[in-house]
Amino acid sequence: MNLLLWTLTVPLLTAGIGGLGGPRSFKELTMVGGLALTFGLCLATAGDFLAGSTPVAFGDALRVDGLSALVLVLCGFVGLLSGTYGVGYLRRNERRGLVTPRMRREFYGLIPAYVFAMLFVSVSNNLGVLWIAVELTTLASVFLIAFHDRDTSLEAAWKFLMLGSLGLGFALLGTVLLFAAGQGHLGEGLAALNWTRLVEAAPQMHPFTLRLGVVFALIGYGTKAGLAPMHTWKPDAYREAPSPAVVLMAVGMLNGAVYCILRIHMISKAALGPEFSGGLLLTLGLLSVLIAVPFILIQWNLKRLLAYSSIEHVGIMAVGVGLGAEAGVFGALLHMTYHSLAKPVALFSAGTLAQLHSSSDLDQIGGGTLGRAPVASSLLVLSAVMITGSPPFGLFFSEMTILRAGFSGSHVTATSILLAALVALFCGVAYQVGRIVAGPSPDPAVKAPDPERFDIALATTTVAAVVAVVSAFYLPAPLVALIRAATQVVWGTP
Amino acid sequence: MIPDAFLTIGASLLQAGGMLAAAPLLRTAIKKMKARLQNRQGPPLLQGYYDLAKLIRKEPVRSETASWVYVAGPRVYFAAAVAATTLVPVLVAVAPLEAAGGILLLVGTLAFGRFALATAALDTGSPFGGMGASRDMTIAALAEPALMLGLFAQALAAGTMNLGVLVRALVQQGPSWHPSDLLAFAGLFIIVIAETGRIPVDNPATHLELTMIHEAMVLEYAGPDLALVEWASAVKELLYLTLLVNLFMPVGIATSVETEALFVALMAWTGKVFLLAIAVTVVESTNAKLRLFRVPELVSVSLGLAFLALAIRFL
Amino acid sequence: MTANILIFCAAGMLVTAYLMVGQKALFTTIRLYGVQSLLLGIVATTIAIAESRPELFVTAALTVTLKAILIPWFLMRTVDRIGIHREIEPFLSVPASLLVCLGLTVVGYRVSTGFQEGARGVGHHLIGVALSLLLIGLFLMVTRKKAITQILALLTVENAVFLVALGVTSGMPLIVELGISFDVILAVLVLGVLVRRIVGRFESMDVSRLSKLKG
Repeated sequence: MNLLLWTLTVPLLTAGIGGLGGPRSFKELTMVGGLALTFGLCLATAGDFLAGSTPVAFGDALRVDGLSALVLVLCGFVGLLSGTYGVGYLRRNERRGLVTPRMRREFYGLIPAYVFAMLFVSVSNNLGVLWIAVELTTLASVFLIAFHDRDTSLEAAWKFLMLGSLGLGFALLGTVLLFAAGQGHLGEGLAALNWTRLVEAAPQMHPFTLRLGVVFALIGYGTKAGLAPMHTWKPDAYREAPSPAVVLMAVGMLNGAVYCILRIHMISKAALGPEFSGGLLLTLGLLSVLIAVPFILIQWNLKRLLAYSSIEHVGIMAVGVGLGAEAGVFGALLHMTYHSLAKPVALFSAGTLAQLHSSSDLDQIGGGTLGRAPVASSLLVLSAVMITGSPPFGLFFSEMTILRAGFSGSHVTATSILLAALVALFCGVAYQVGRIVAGPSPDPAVKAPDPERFDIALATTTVAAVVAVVSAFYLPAPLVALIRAATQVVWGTP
Repeated sequence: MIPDAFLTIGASLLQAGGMLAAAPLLRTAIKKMKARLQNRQGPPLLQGYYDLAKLIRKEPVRSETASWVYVAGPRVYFAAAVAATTLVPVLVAVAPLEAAGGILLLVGTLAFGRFALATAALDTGSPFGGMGASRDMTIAALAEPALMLGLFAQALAAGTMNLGVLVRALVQQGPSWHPSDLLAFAGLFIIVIAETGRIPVDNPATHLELTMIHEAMVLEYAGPDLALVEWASAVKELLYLTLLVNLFMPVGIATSVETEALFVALMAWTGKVFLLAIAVTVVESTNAKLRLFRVPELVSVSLGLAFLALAIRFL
Repeated sequence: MTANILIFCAAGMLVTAYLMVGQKALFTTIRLYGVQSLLLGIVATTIAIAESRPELFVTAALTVTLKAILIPWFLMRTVDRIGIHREIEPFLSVPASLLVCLGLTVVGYRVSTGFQEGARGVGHHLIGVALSLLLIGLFLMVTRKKAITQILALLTVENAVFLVALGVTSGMPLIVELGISFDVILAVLVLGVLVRRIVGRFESMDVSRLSKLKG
């Protein structure tokens, strides 16, 4: 069995073992070990790619090119983070007696399964296989959203599943239409839906069918990415799902969905030039960034706040791709990388605060958390600074790259709107985070939150924060090479 | 040589007589099939005739306040139903009185009969009559346009509003296999269910004041008056089914007046009407009666389908 | 003959969609969905025979066993266990819904003329009906409140996508179809479990009650 298949098999096995049962320490060990091994395998696969070979499996249905390798590595990374944090997360809940056997099974089974589905998405070279993989991510995450079995979590899971399935229906239609548009130029069998083949055949495709297919596919996968106006499932799901699952959703699934969007964009670009799908992405992206502004300003829940921040970031990536310049694509992929490093810190620290206060609602948490939970609070502040794109951290550089590409291209108005929205978002997040971290402490007699303990979850958060900070100043050369290779895949070699 | 006028009159009388004779059998057959589906024995096949004979022998009982309108109602209703039978091709691809008019005349005749009966029901001033009349008219207000639209959709295929010409054209060109056919058929089938007072719309077997429609309207009538109403309703039901089979499945219909062709046509017609009767029975047995204010919704579905059938010809 | 059967089945699917819009008994809606899937299976079989493409028989068999038999059975069992049989008042009255659906059908048909295969003949009707079905399914999804009806609307959309696939392509690669069918059955199972949990908690399947999360 080759390396690529191992990369997919290990998380699947981990999920199987985790879902079965067994003593707690064994499950914890399996999950962390399995996900660590997975991350290692992801790195090895990417290393294989950088060394000049192209890992493939199942004919050509799974294939690792630059873009796949980048998304693969990022997914493996957050998979490991979420696994280790997850161990701590569940331990905290066990201590408070909140965990039923069903929850234990679901948690240890579904988290690695979710990681598996995301890795599967990132290496599929085939439009049909990709659709199946994305559907698997949806199904794996539903019960994670419904995990706590509260009224609101069932509501969030229902909305997520309905909207997600609808989006996937659209994506399937888009897939069918793209396949139909290229009929006669694609050949027979499974290979007919391979990207490589579709991009080659794109210039000969029937234009009407192709356009319709691109629109449906972009809307469909855009729903998974949470682009406005198909973003409405996101805040609910983020609030209800346990933090480790939210991280997988906010980074892994988001990257996977952006990966799908980029693939569709590539086909459309090869056939119709960058303007058609680029324009659509630009519009959806700007809309997402703009829609996040008011909702962040009036937000009442910490995790929903971070959901809107996710919507903003995926919007920025879409804008970067939509600008129709190589620098924009590079900026978007850089943004994806830095976002994957910074967002887990924010979600983990917010998750810790929420667990300590038994709620993620801002007025339940109250002000002055810095005194009660100094580590989590300071990490939250640090991550807030990072995710709002402040210098000197990574997202500042990627946003600058995108803005510069925009101002030097033909989309000056759109870029100006983006810049204004980014400033407003900075203020919004700073205001909300400042309100809970500083601010007056609530009366300690009224409610006594659990004291903060430096457990494995908080340690994971700290490590993630260190990685995110270091990455701002030193991005490892192989990672940069991967981003460049991915840019080349999307933009195409001239 | 017999003059044309006599031929026409003869054919009309023959057809009307045949339909009048066959109609009670259809009703009983549906009743019997329904009973069998419910594991009951059901009435004998000739029960419809016995009932009519019994009613006709009885003395009519009329309210003291009833005027001539009350007396005329059932008679006009019956006459309209009988007249309508001569406007539709049954066994031969010719309607005896097709020179008089086509779809519009047919719908108009039936509407006139209904109007007469509804007016008569109001005449005695009894609450049930008025309630039944208003309910019946509510449904008719939706069902009649749907009926017309459904028939128009077929008429459009052949380019004529005359039912005789229409059926001849359909026989000649064969089935057109257009989505419009099925849509119009589905729409008209619902109309038939609604117009003949079958189960999702009305239950002919009960006299429950909350739900009854047709039965409420004719609750006052007794004896020969009631016989006329019942008979006319049966004729209308047979007429609708005939219309459906001849417009959508014009197989086996005679194009010339020869004994052999007529025999084949009779067999084909009986078979097809029987098939539709089975469909009606199945619908009656598998559905629950709709609440009264849900009925317009069902009828509006048929209106939608009929309209779509018409529109889709242009798409 | 092939063309006739195809058009007949496509029109039948459209009729079932309209009947779904027009009434509210859950069992009838589920049965209508079953009939719709059966017709889809017949379409696939007909194309398989006419164009001698044996792999389409697998699609047809999957469609009939999964969507015409298994899924309706599963949904009926779910409804039975829950014991709620009627759709409540939808957000839009039935006549208004029908009017909207008429408009959607017109749109679907107009769009179908843009396709290479959809300009005339059988393809026109297949794609036209498929796109109309898609739009009607979406419409049902936003106007209905019952969880089961929403699932059925989703499945209708899925049927529509399959009909498009049959109308505009010479069939998706078999392995993809198998994967998609597997995913669909999985999704229905997940939905069923979720519905039971929702009913267990809210004692109702009215998803318009799921409205606590806002902002």
